[in-house]
Amino acid sequence: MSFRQTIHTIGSTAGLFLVMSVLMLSIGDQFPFSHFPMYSVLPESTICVRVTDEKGTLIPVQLAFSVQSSILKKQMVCELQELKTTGRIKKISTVSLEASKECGQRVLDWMLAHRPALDPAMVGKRVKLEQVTYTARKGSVTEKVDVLAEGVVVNAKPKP
Amino acid sequence: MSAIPSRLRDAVGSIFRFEPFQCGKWEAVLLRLIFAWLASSLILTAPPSFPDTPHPHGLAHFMDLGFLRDATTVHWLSLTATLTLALGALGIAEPLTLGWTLFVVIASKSYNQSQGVIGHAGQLLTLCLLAQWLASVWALRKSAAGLRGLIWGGLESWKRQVWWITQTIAASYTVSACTKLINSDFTWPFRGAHFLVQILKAHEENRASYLGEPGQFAQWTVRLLTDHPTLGNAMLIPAFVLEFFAFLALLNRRLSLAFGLGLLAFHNMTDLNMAIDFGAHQQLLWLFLVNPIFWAGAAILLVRSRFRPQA
Repeated sequence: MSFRQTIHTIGSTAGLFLVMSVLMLSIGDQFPFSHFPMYSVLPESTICVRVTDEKGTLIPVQLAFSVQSSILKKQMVCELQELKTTGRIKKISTVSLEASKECGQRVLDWMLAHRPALDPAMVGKRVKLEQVTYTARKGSVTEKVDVLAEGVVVNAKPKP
Repeated sequence: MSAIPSRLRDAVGSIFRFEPFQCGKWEAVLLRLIFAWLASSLILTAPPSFPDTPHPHGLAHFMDLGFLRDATTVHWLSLTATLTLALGALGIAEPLTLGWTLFVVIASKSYNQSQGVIGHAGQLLTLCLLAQWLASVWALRKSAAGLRGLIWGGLESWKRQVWWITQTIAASYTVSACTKLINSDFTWPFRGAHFLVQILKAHEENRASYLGEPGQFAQWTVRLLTDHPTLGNAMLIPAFVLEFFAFLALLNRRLSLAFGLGLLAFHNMTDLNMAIDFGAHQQLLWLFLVNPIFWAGAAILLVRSRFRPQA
């Protein structure tokens, strides 16, 4: 089979596979395209964010504010990415606690502004945003908790 | 002595033999109908709960999507997109009907993703809808029927749509594996020792979201990886191989079935360990790679041929 015939056979049988692959890899995450970067790095350290009350008791955000913890974490990464873009930090993985606190405050403010509490009794209560950092080192995993931000619940979903 | 290698060569050759994609009439009809039902989940039902698009994403880079904040507009968009999707599934004016549904889906999803948070639940289903639409437009290229070709693409176009959707699914997995290689400096399959932190993070996220507790299997995995961190490689390597070589599913129906079941097992393991559910991906794998409709048809044909009276 000549080179031209080979190209024609590949193009006519799996041409869209190649086109889609190139588009997904070159465009990246721009809907509907994606290069599917989830869990593509697996660094030795990763973070999770959670919300607690003043005493440190966990408030399940999906049940209390209709938002998932993973969404808040993605917001956090997005804010850190902004700091990186503006040149204020070099790497997200080695960011200082001060920069994390600045981003955490923005994330908590976003949640309190856009995700009204489902229980009206929450209005007026102080909440904290905590960051849990998991690190794998020398065969064991360490866990570190930092309080990043505090805020007051101001909105509640009106009762139907 | 030489018979064994030659048998082995024949067996390997038969597994990896390229067999051009053939799709029956009823297979194409049923797959497209079920796919339309899956794609209907992408259509918005209410205006987004966000007031603006602070981090423009997708279509939001090119146009103002503020019209999606109006409830009346969204009502009509939802109604028309559902109607055009149904018409497209019936094969009517697909370049126009599927095109409109695709526009409404991409616009609404782009708006929601423009908050700075990118979710990955709807991309593959939307890409498959894009592939279907592209196949319907491609059919116009050779259509001698002019306007009639635009109104009714016909069976050949439907078969191409099924094949292009299948290619898109395979491409998404191969691309995902390539991204893992690129982002990890080609070390992803061997980062098993770090996998445990991702599982623990996922468990804590579920607890922080809805007080979710890990199941018994997930707890067993955590204990196993805590005692033997490098066993994580044994979990990552098969997952990577399945994703990277997903394009082999396009060679023939047997490999399509094998990769479909393998990737479903991979998704189920992820769900069991981390409670991450890629429902739409699994539905697409069942429909187009495992494809029970094809195998049911093949089984019926086999039974018929066995019990056909000898002449």
